[in-house]
Amino acid sequence: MIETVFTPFQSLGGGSLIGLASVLLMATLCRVMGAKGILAGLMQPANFCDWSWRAAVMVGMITGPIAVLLIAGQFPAVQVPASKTMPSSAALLWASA
Amino acid sequence: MRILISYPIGLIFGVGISISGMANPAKVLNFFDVAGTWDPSLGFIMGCALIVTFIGYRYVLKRPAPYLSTGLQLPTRRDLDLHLIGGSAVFGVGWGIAGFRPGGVPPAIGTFRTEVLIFVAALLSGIVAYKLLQTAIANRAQAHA
Repeated sequence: MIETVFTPFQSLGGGSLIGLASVLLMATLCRVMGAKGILAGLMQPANFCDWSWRAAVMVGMITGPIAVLLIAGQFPAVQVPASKTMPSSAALLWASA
Repeated sequence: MRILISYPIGLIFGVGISISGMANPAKVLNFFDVAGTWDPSLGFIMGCALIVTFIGYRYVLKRPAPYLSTGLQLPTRRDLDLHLIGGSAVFGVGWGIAGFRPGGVPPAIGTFRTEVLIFVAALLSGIVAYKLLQTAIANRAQAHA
């Protein structure tokens, strides 16, 4: 396995932001913050209004690391211990299902 | 108006995932590798997110209506069925193999890594396949009825 550094303070801060985002989404649009649900609804939207808020949340999520890059000067680490064939074989399996 | 609100919410989520280390599969998998390269960070992320959500939801759900929406979109079912338990189990296996989960992936897309893009393609195919299967089963049930 790839060794990673224990980051209690970053993880506590990041965890609070994740919690804050889900509370804000519940307070404003009364939706549960679940990426898969938001993504699934994005592919089969009920109407444009429903699609647009999902798309905006997704774009916000994707631009998160870019914001971190601008503030901290580097991208958050993404280290993948599984081989490239693992996710791609899963992709083929799912696609052929 | 909804977009103006939902973009920063997604951004806060994405920054949270990025800072916490949850977009990093190695860090996620190391949480479970207690005997090896153990990294307890994930416990801190989940614990903190859970506490904030628990307190925040209690306050928010006391309000008569959300700020920008009229209808309630809360899950109402309280029973545990085969779908929920089976789905959670499959989710866990997938998370354990790859270290990626749907929540951690959109922020990881922003780093433009090949593995992440492959995972997203797989995830989208999986969602489409499930929808097609669900429709096929519903159609068959209707034909038999």
